[in-house]
Amino acid sequence: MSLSRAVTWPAIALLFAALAACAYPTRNQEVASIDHRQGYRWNNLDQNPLEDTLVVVTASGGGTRATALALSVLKGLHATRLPNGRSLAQEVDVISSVSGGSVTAGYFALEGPRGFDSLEEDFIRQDGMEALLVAGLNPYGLAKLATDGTERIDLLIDYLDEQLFDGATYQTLLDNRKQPYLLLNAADMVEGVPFSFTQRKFDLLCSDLAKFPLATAVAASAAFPVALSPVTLTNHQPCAAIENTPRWPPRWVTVSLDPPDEDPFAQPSIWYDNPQRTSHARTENAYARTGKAPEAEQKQYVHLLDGGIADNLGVFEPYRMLATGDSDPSFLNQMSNGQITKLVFIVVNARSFADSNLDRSRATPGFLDMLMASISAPIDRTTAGTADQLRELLFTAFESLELNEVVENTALIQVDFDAIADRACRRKFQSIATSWTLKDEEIDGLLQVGGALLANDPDFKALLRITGAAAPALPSLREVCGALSF
Amino acid sequence: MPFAKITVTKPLNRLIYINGGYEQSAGNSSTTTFRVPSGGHVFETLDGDDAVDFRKAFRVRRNERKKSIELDRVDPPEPI
Repeated sequence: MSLSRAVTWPAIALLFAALAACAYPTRNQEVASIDHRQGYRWNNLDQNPLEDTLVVVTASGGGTRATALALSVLKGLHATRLPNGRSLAQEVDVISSVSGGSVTAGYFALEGPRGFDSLEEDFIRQDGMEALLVAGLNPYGLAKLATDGTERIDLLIDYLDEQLFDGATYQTLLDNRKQPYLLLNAADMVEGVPFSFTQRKFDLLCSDLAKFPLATAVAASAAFPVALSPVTLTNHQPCAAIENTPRWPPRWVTVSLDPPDEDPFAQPSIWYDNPQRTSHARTENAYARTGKAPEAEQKQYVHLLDGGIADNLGVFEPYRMLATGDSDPSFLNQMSNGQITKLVFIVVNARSFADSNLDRSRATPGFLDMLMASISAPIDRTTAGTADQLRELLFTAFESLELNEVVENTALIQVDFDAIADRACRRKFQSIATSWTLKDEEIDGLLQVGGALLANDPDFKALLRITGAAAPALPSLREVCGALSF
Repeated sequence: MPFAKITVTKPLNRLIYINGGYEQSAGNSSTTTFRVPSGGHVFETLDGDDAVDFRKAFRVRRNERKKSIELDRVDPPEPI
């Protein structure tokens, strides 16, 4: 390429960027009716054969490190065979995820265990960073970014579609009718709270989740701040679907709010009874009331960023399902009425902890160091409290509620690099970069360590007893750590 | 998060729906002990036309551990 052409093409693209009108894509479509019998909802999927046993897997963020670790755990579950001939992976009822974990969760919901090989070959082992940079920085890519309706996040959306999802939507999952029920989690950038891609949430925006592309939902879950642009949803209110709904906002929102027709100073706010429920309900009420609220209170757009900002374990929505009657499904109700008597909950945490020279130097950290710390530190450190809250719920709260059969048949498995006692091995895994490109040796290690950590958890024996599964042949942590070549 | 156990004394032998969760009933008013977190709740029953014919809205204070409630008739029944 001649020098003049090398200069001309980027200049033309930058010119397009300067001249292009600011038109933004509408990513979510308006729904025709709000109907609990339709759409991507729990009851519209076929239930797994182990009807009295709830199996939940959550997968954290962390780029391809998290994608690979979550895949390793699912492979370990697939190696765990049940008396009915199925694998425990096939009995996963709910998979909830954030960021890198969402690539695995979304593809597993779409393809099941038969997709394991293509997830590894077509995504995990690919140089994702180079693909994104090439897509964005070549003249065509730059020109495309300058056109109406294309944003930086579309680089990731297009890449996910090309490598894995091929345009699949939530309607594809609905047509398959198979569990697991998929919960992809992003974060509302303005509210700082988790945003789960569920039809109930989309009802509040008068939107149809069935038409929403899986690649876009995964990308929203993984929209790392600054590097990528948010996925912006449109609140389609006012809309005919809500005008035709007898009661709006729905009861599962309004029950946690102070009654609007009562004197707000007559008694203590309902917030004191349950701050978590009321805070969440106030955000959802703001989505739901946008059609009728004063302009200053409207939420006409929801800007979604990496779910790790609000909940890097992807535990928030499953916790809500276990702890309240505000969600669909409500597993608390199903445990109360005896439908669910056994619970397997697997938390996969790919948290990184990279070595840093900053705390060995007197020099004031620079702008980039501060920017990265302000983004990464909250994502990496908020997970500890969430895991403790879950443990308290499953073993203390449920015991006080006399859900005795459930308590005696609960296995809580934590797949976490922190569980590796050998310091050198632990730090090797924790130092793997948060990136869409990893070295083959790192991937090899990650694809082994998930299964090893699964089997190493003290509650794994309880998992085998509860499900009647045979002990699988999985590598030990000693073997995995000994075989590392990075 | 605090929780409480709820028993329903009226109406008898009806399916209960909690907080507008009409996708699936939470249990039977006569045989299920319901568990709820503290805060506001609405228990309802649906008649043969899928309309609400009994309802009770109530609040569980953070220090309450059990409660017994009677649902009130909704006349005429309200569509969901």
